Amino acid sequence: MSKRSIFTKCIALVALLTLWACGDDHEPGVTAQTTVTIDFEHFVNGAPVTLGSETPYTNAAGNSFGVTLLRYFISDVVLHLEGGDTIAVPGAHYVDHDDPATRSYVLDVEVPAERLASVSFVMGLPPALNVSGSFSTGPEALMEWPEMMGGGYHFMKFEGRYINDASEPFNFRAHTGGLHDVDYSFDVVLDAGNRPLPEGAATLTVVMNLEQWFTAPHEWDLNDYFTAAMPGIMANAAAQESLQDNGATVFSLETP
Amino acid sequence: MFVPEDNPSTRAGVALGRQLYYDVRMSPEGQRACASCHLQEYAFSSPAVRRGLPHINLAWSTSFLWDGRFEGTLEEAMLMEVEEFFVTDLERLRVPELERMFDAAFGTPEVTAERAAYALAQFQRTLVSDDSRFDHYLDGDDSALSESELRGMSLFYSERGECFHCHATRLLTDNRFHNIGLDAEVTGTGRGAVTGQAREDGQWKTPTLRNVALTAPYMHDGRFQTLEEVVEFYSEGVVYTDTLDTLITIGGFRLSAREQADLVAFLHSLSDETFTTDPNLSDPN
Repeated sequence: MSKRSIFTKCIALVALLTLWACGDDHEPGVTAQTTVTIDFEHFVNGAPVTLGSETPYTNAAGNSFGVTLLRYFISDVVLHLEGGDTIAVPGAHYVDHDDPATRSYVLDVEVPAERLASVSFVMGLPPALNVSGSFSTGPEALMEWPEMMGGGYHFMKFEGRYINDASEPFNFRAHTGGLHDVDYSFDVVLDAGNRPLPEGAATLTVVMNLEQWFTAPHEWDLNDYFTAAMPGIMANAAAQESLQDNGATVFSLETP
Repeated sequence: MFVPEDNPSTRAGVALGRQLYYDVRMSPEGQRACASCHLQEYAFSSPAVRRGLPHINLAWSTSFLWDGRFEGTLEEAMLMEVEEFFVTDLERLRVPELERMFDAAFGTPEVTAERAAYALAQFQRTLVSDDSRFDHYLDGDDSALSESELRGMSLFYSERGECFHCHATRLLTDNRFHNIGLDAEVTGTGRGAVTGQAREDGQWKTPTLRNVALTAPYMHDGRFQTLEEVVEFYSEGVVYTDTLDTLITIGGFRLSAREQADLVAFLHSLSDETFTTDPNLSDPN
C-alpha cells in the first residue's frame, strides 16, 4: 500500500468518525431537548410602545392616548407540539414593561425540540392561583385586588392618559381582575405554525398589541369609562367583561 | 422581611441597637440620637421635623428618604446614618458599658461603625406596627371599626377614593414613588432629581399610613398640618403636570364633606397603641 493510499484511508476514517460523532448527538430514540424562553413585547398600532405622559397613539374610537404603565400576569403556559403532546408549565409569571427582567420568562421544563403547533396560557390568574396572600413579597404582592371587590390580584394594570371630549388630558387605568365570584381571566391560544423548535434554546415572543384592548368586538371610547365621576373600571362588571372579550385579539406570537 | 445572613437578630444585638437609637453619644456633639427626631409617642416621627419619614416597618423597605436617594439594605442605610448623618465619633462609644453590649452582640467588645449600624438595623426590625383597630378588623373583629370608619375604608379601597393602589398591602405603602400633584413646577424635583429621569420629576416616596394620625406634618415638605388638609388636597387641590401619576384623578377626587370626614376617621383607625407604648421599644435608660 502506498503512503498516499494510507493517508487517504486515514483521512476517510477520521471523516467517517467525525460524521458519526457530529451527525447525531443523541442516543437512538432520545429526542433532542430545548429550553424555551418566552419574551414579552408590547406594541401599539404595530410599533413598540414608549411609556410617557404624551398621547401619541390613537384607538379605534379616535381617542388620542398614551401609556404610562403596564403590568400583568400570565399563567399556566402550555406548549402544544405538532404530534399532539403537550408540555404544561403551571404557575404564574408577572410582567412589568418597565422591568426588563420580567419580560423574559424561562420555562422551567425541558421541551422536545420538535415542531410547535401552538402556545396557550391564561391571561391573568385562574381561580386556583388568584388567592389573596399567594404573593407575599415583591412587585407581585402590589398587584393585590381589594378584598371588598373579591380579593386576589389584579390581572392587569394598563394605565395612561387620553384626551377627553373636553380636549383635556385625563388619566385612564384599565385594571382587570376577578370581581367577587366572577373570574375574568381568559385562555389565550396562539398558533405557532408548526415551526420547529431549535435544539438547545428557543425563544418565543408573545406580543401584546395594546390598542386591541379598545378595539373589537367592543370599541372603547375612553370617555365612556374614565371620568371624574368614575375614574376606574375595577368595580365595573360590564367593563371587565368587555375587556375580557376584547382580549381575544390582543396577543400574537412570533416563533423562532 | 429581609434579614441578611450576616446579621441575624439576637437579643443582645437588638438591645445594643435600642441603646444606640436612644443614645446621644451617636452624634459628635453628644446632643442628638435617632430618637431625638423619632419619638415613640409619635410612632417614631416628630411633629417638629417637617421632612422626616417615620420609622415604621422599615424592615420591608429597600429605599430610604422621601426621594429614595439611598437604596440598599437596612444595614447599609444605618451605616449611612452612622457615618454620614451623625458622623459618629466612635471614641464616644468606646466606654465600658457600651463595649460590654458590643461584646454580647458580636462576640468581642470592638466598636466599629459597621457593628453600630448592624445593631441599629436589628432594632429597626423590631419597629413593627401591626396592631391597629384596622388590623383587628382584618383579623375578623367586625366591631373594631365604627360606621364612619367602615365607610372611610370602603372609599379608601375604591377607585373613587383611590388610596389603596399606592398605600398597598398591609404595610399600607408600595414603597414606590409617585407624583400626586402637589406642585405646578416639578422639574428636577423628587425622585427625578435622583435618577435624572424627567418622567420621575415630582415623585416622592409613598409613606406608610400606619399611625398616620400621629405623624404630622404631612408630605415630603411637611406642608399640611392635619389629615383634614391632606384629604382636602386630594379632593380639590391636585395640580396637573406631565408627570402626574395616572392613579390620580386630574382635577382631584371631588369628595363630599362626609366622604372626607369618613376617610379621616378611617385613617385614625390605623393608629397602633401597642406600637407607641411598647416598653420594648422605649428608651432603655
